[in-house]
Amino acid sequence: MFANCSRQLINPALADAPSRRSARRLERLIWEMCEIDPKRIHVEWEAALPAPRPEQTAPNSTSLAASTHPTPTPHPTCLLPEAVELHSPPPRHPAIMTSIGTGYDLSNSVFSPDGRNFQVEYAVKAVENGGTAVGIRCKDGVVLALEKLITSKLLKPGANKRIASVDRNIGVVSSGLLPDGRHFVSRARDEAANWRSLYKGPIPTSALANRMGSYVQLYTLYSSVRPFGVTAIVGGWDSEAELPVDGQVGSGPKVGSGGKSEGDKKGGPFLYMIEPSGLYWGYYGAATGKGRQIAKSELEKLNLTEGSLSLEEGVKAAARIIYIAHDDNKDKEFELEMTWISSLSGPTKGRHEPVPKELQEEAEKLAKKALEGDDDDEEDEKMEE
Amino acid sequence: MGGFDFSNHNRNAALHAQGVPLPKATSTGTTIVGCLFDGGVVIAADTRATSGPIVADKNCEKLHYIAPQIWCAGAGTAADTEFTTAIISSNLELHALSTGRKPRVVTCMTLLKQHLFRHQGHIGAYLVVAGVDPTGAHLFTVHAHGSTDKLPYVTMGSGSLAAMSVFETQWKGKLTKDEAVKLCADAIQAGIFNDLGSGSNVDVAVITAEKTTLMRNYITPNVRERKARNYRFPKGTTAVLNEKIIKKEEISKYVTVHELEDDSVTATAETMDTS
Amino acid sequence: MMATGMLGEDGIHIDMNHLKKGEVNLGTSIMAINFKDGVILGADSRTTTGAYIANRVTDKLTQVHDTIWCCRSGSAADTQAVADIVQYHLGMYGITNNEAPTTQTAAAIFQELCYSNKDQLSAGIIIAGWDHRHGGQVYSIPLGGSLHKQSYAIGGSGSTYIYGYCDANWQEDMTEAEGVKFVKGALQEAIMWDGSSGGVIRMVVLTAKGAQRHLYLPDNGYQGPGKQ
Repeated sequence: MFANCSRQLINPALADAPSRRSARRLERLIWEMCEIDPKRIHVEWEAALPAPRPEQTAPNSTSLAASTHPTPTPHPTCLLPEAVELHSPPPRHPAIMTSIGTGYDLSNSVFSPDGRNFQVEYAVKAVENGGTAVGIRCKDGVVLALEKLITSKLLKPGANKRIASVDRNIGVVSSGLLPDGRHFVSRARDEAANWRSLYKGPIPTSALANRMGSYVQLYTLYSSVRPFGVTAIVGGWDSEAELPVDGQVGSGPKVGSGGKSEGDKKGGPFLYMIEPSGLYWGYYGAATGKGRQIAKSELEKLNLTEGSLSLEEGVKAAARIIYIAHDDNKDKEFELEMTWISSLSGPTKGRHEPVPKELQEEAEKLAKKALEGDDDDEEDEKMEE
Repeated sequence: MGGFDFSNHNRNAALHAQGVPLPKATSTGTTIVGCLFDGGVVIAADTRATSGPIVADKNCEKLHYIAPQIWCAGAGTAADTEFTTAIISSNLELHALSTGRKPRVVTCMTLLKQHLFRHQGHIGAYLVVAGVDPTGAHLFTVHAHGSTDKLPYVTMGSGSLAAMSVFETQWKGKLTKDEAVKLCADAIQAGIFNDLGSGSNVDVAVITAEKTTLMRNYITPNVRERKARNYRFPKGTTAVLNEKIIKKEEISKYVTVHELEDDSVTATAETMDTS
Repeated sequence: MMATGMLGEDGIHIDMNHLKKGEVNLGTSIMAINFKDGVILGADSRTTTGAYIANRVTDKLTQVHDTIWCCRSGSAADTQAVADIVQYHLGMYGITNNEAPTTQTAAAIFQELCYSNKDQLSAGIIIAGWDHRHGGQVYSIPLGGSLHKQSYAIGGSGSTYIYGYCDANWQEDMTEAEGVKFVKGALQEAIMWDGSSGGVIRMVVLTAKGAQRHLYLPDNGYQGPGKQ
C-alpha cells in the first residue's frame, strides 16, 4: 500500500525538476517508515516507468532504464608527445558502478564512495555527443578541424564559425556544449590579454593551456557550479622570432645581441587538449567529440611523433579524418571548419587563420575520395571476415 | 552627518602657496649607531628626547625590542619608532610561531621597509636593525621612505655625522665584542657632546648567538652633580616687622570653614558620591 | 618646490630631481653595455641625503633573476621597492612556467610598474640581462616610464658628463676586457665630474657562464681588485 502511494508521490521522473531533491528526501523517509527495501522499490519503478525516448539522453535524467551500468569513461588515449603513462580506470564493483539513484551524482562537491565525481563524468558524456574536433601538430604548424553539425537548414552555410582565435597566434576548437565552448574561449582571451598586459608579449601556448586547465578544474570543486561540458583543443605557434617588448623604443645593437646559445629550440607548434576535469596534456594529435575513437586511430596512423608531416599534409589529413569520423552517422549534415597556424616563414606567418578556400576545397575533395576508397576497403574487409 | 570635512583644504593650500609652512611633527634629535663584530652585533643610542628646543626626557629608551635576538635603535618621530617597532615585533613573533623557526633579521628588515614604503615617508621612523639569527649576525639601516642599507657599521639621527666620524677613524675589520662596545659607546658620546639634539646617557645592546645583553645607561657622562652650595635661607633671615593673628571665627565671615572629623583626612575639597 | 611629475607652465616640464624631504637619493652614475658574449653593468657606490653621504659603498647593481640584473638611480626607497616587486614576479614566472624569464619579461614588468606609478616614483632604471634565447640585452627606463632597447645605456646624474666619452669610445661587439675598460673609463669620468657620484666602481658581467662581479677601488686609481 505504502509502497504504491510513495511511488505516486515521489517518482522523480514524474515530479518537476526543482522538487526532485525534496522528493528524494521524502523517499528516504518513507523507506525508513515502512522498512521497505529500497532496492525492491527501484525494481518496481523500473517496471512501472515508460521507456525513455531515445533523443532524451540527458545524463542527469532519472529514468531508471539508464541504471544499466554506464560504460566507464574511456581515457583519452591520444598521442602523447613524450612518454606519458596512461592510467586505465580501476575495475569497479558492479554494485556501485551505477551513479544514478545513489545521490552521489547530484553535487559537484561530493565524491562517490569509490572516489569519482559523477558530474565530471556526465560532462564527458556531453562532450561525447558533440561534433568531432581534431587538432594536428605538424612540423611547421598546427591544424584545427571541426565537424560542425548542421542543426537547421535555415542556418547560412559557412557562417557561425566555431573555431575561435584567442590571440593572434592561438586557436581553440571545442566539442560539447556550444555556450560552454564560447565561455571557455572568452576566458582564454582574458588570460591572453592579461598576460599581454603584464609581460608585454604573446602568451606561450603552454602557459595558456596551463591557465585554462586550472580554470576548468575550478568548476569541478563547487556545488554551486557544474563542470564545463566541453573538451577543448588549443593549438598555437609560439614565435621563433626575437619579439620586441610591446611598446619598446629602439632595437638595440645593429650587430644583434651577443652571447646567444646557438641551436637552441625557439618557439614552434604546440597542441593541447583540456578535458572537463581540468586535465590537460600536450599532444601531437588530438581528437574529441562523437567520432574521437575513429579520429584517434586515424591520427595514430600519421606517425606524428616523427615530426615529418607538413602543414599542408596535415590540413588534408585533418579533413579526411573529420570525413571518416563522420561516416558512421550519415543522417546528419555537417560542415567542415578548418583553421591553421604556420611558422613565420609559412603561409599564415605565425597567425591563426581559416584554411584558404581553395586548399580546403581540395582537402575536402580528397577526403571524399578517400572515403569512397575506404568504403570499398571496409566492404572488402567485411567480405573477408 | 558623518564623513570627512575637507572645507579647510583650499584655505590650507592657499596659505601654503603664500609661504606659510606646514606644521612640523615632533621629532627626536638623536644619535644611534650599530657595529658588527666577530660573533655578533652591538647597537647603541643616546637617551635624550626633545620637543623643539625643550628636552622632553633626559633618560628615554631608544633601543626597542623586536625579538629576543633582534633589536632596533630608533631615530625620528618618537611615537613612530615606538609603534612601528611594536607592530613589526608583533608580526615577527606570529611569523616565528607559525614557521616554528627563529625570526631572521632580513625578514624584520623587509617587514619594516615594506611598512614604511607603504606610508611614503609619513611614518617618520629611521631605524638601525641589528640581530643574530641562524644565518649569522646582521646589521641594517632603514630610512623612513623605505630604503635600506647593509653595512658593517652604521649611524643615524642628527648626531650621525659626529658618530660616523668616530667609526671612520677608529673602525677596523676585525673587532672583539669589547672593542665593538667601546667603539659604539664612543660614537654615541661624540653625538651626545657635539650634537645639540643628542644628550644624557649611553644605552648599549650586545647581541650574540648565545644571548642578548641590554646595558641600560652603560655610560652616564651627564650625572647631575650635587650643588656645591646650599641656596636656602635659614629661618630668621628676614626680619618680622609686625604680627597679626586672625581667628577662625573672624575668617568665617568671608569663607566657609569645615571642622575636620578624622585626623587622617587632612583636607577635602569635595567628596565624590560613589554610592 | 614642484611635485614630481607635475606639469609646468609650458605644459611639458617635469621636475626630474625632486625628492621628498629627507629622502635618500641615489645621485648616481650607472650604465650597462652589450658586448660580444653578453652584457656588463656598472655603477658608482654613492648614496646621499642632501649633502651627506649616507652610504659610500652602496650596491646599486641589483639582481632580479639568475642572469637578469638592474642598475638603480633616483630614490633609493622607490627603486628598491620596484626591484623587489620585479624580483618577486620573475621568481613566480620561473616557477609557474618551468622556464627562466627573458630580459624582455623583466623589462616589461619594470616598465609596467614605472609607468603606471609614474606620478609617485622617482626611479631611473637600466635593465640588463642574459638569456639563452636572446643572449645579452640592455633596456633603459627613464623617469616617465618609457622603455628603450639600446646598445648601451647610461643613467643617473653623472651620466650627463659622459655622453661624449661614450659616444667617442663605443664599439659594437667588444670583448669582455674591452667592455670592462669602456665601462670603467666612463664611470671614472662620471665620478670625477659629478659631485653626487663617487666611491668604488662596481660591475657585473652577465654571460652564458652566469654572473661575475667586479670591484674597483678609488685607493689605487680604480685598478683593482677586479673580479670577485
